[in-house]
Amino acid sequence: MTFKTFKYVINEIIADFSECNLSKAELQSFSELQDKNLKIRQTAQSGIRIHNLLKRLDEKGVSDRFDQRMSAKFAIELENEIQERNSKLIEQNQKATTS
Amino acid sequence: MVNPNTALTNSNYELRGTIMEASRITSLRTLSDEDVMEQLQIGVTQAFDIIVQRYKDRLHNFLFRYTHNHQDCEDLVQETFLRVYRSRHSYERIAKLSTWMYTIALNLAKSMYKKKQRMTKISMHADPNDSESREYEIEDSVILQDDQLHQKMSVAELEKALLKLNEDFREVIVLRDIQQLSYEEISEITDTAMGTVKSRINRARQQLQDLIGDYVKSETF
Repeated sequence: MTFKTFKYVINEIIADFSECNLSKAELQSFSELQDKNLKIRQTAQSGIRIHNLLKRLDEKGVSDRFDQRMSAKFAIELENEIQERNSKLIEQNQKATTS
Repeated sequence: MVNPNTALTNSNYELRGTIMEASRITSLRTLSDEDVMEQLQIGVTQAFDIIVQRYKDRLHNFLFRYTHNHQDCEDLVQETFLRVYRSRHSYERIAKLSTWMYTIALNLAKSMYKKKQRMTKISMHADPNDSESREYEIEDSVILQDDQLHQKMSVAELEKALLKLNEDFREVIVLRDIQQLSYEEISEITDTAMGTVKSRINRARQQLQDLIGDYVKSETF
């Protein structure tokens, strides 16, 4: 049987609190704990605040030219793959004819 | 002289080929990521394009937090896809495709970051000519004032603060709060125990709060 340490449990609760994933009962207990422990309160408040701010960061998508450049790179990749396969075949054939 | 019947037959073949190609792409689009990957493994190269379309923006958004430069970021995203293709046969369905891809992307980002750190100091972004630097909409009550300038500064500070975080903290918080992956996925991608992931996320959030403390009021919700 394994037991979770107090620190582990607190980390789990703070993480869940920051993402509003605590049940009502858990939230009630955690609020009481926050009133008693300033450090936990600060960490929990920072957690919820930063989590909300980060969720609002603008998404950084690719540019319009991305697909074109990707297709070109993939075409080169396929070409290299074919060349590699062909040179292996030639090598095998050469070995077969010499032996 | 071209026989009109032969020409017609050839064009019919071409048309049929195009239709088959289109229907194959359509059916690929309905498949799960893992099924698309399976198609790529058996040689259906169109599957590669489906994977690219599904993940290009997600990976870019993730890798941008490491590069802070669109060109470098796009190069990294493309390299990630090429590595996915090259190592397609090593992918096994026991892992989600997204987890596997993020792992590849993260490793690439880490090695690029180390190289850059060795070469030069990373420049903090905020390029006025960057078309991607759009205005942010933050309606959160935690922002000190309502004025747009302050909001923009808060976000800019947050982006800068992210770059200042230690690598272990940054990767977990970006994967969780920006990419919104599950703890299980993050644990797998970073090869770290779940408890450690949660602890790092909490500490990262606390550090970010400390770094941007002047911009965001600490006691308001």
